[in-house]
Amino acid sequence: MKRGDLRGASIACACALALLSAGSTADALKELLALPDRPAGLDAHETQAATSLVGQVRTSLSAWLWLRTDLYLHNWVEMRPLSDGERRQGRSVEGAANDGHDQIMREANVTVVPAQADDFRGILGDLERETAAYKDMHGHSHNDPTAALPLFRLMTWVDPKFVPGWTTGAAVLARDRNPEGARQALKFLSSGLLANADNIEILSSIGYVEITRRNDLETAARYLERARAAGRVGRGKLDEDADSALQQTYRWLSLCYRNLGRFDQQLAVAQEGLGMYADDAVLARLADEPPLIIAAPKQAKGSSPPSAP
Amino acid sequence: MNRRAVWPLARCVIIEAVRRKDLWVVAILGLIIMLFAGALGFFGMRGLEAFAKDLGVSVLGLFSTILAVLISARQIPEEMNRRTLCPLLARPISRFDLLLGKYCGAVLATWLAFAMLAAATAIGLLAFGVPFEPIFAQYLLLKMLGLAAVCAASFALSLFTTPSAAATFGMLLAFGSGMLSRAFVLAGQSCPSGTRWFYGLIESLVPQFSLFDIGGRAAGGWPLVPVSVVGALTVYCTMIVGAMLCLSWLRFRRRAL
Repeated sequence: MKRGDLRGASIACACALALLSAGSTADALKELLALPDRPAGLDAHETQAATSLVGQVRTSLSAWLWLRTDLYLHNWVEMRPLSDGERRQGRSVEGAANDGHDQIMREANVTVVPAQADDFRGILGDLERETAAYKDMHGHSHNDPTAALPLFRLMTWVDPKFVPGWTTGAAVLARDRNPEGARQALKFLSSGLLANADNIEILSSIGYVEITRRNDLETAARYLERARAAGRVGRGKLDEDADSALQQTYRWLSLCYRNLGRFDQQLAVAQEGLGMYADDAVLARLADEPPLIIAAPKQAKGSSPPSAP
Repeated sequence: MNRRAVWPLARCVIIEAVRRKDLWVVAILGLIIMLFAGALGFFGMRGLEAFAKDLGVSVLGLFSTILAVLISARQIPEEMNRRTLCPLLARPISRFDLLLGKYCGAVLATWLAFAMLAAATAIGLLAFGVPFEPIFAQYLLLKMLGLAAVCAASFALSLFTTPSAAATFGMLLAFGSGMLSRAFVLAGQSCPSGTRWFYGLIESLVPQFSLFDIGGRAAGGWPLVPVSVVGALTVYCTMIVGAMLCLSWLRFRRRAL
C-alpha cells in the first residue's frame, strides 16, 4: 500500500469514528438544543414515506393530487404564499371572494406569474402571462369544489394518513348544508378516523359537522371531548394545523356545553383552553360569561346550534 | 449548404429510431397513459374532465420531453463512437449539413413519438367522453415548437459533454427552466430596482421552454392564445434553435474526429 493510500485510509477512519461518536451523542444533543419534536400528524405521514418505496409513492401521489386540486379550484392559475420579504414590504394579497366555502376561502396568496406592474422581464413576462393560466386574482372565486370530490377520495385512498384530504373533502361534501351532504361528510370523516385514530383535526371536523349541519350537540360533544383528550396527550408536539384544530375544539366544546346548559363544563373547558391559548378572545368570553345571563332554557338535540366562534 | 443532403440524413435518424425500438418505448408509455386514465375512471369521471385533461397533457408533456432529450442527445456522439462519422463526411456534405440533417431527423422522430403519444392520450380521454376544445390544437402546435427547441438544446449539449451528461443537463433545462425563471423573478422582485436588469439579462439568456406549454390553459378550458403570441413564440423558437445550432457548429467545425 502506498503512503498516500495509508493517509487517505486513516482520514476516512477518523471521519467514520467522528460520525459514529456524533451519532451516539445525538440524543443528548437534541435535549441540549431543545429541538422541537416532530409534529405527530406530519410524522405519521412521513413515516409512511420513509419506511417503504410504496409509502413514498403513496405520499408523493397524494401530495401531487392535493396540489392539482388546488390548481383546479383556481382554474389552473398557480398561486403561492407571500414570502417574508413581501410581507415586510406590505405587498397586498390576491384574496378570495366569499363564495360560501369557509375552508378554501382563507388564503393569503399571490399569483406565481407576476402582474405586469410587478414584472421586470418585458416581453418574456408578457408572453408568459399570455401562455400560462394567468389572470388578476384579486377577489377571485373558485371552481365548484364538488367536482374535485373524486380527487379527495382518490388521494385519501392512495394515502389514508393524509389528514387534510379527509378534512377538506368532508368540508366540500358538507358545503351545501343539506342532510345528505352532512351524512356523506360524516361517513367520509369516519373512514378517515379509522385510518387516523384519535386525530384531532378529524375529530374536530366531525364535531363541527354534527353541530353546524345536524344540531346534534351531544354527539358533537363526545367527539370534541375525544379531540380534547388527544390534545392533552399530544400537547407540545402538534403541528400548526392540529394546534389550530385543538383551539377550535375548545371553542366549539365550550359553546356546546353552554347550549346544553352544562355551565360548569363550559367554564372548565374554556379555562383549560385559555391556559393553552391565552390570547383567544372567544374562550376568554366563554370563561368569564356569567351563568345568569345565559341560564336560559336548556338546549338539546334539535335546538339551534351555537354560532360560529 | 447542401439541402439535398439534409433529408436523407433526417430520414436515417427516423429509421434508426424505429430500428432501435424507441417507438416501442413510446407504445409502452402510451399504455401507461391509458392505465392512468383507467385509474381515474375507477373513481368516477363525472366532473373530473378537467383533471383528466390536465393529467393527459402533463403525462404527454413529460414523456415527449424525455424522448426529445434522449433522441437528440445521442445523435452525434453515437456516430463518433461507432466510427461512422468519417465515412459520412467523406460524402459531398459539409459538417453543417450533417448537423442540420441530424437535428432535423431528431426533431421529426420526436414529433412522430409525440403524435403517437397524443393519439394514445386522445383515445384515453375520448373513452371517458372528455371533450376537446380548439385550444388543444394550439397546445399541440406550441408543444411541437417547444420540443424542437428542447431538441436543439440537447443536441448542442451533446457536443460539449458526454451523451449521458447531455441527457441529464437537457432534462434539467427542459423541466427546470420554468422553476429557474420563477426563482429569477422572485430574486429580481426582492432586490433594489437598479440591479433588476441583471436578473432580466439572465432570464433572457436561459431558454424558456415552459412558454411553449399551454397545458394549464388547455385543461382549464381557457380561450385561445392570440395569434400574435403564437407568432412571437415561433420567432422565439427559431431564435433558440438558431443559437443552439450555431453553438453546435462552432464546436463541431474544428473538432478532430
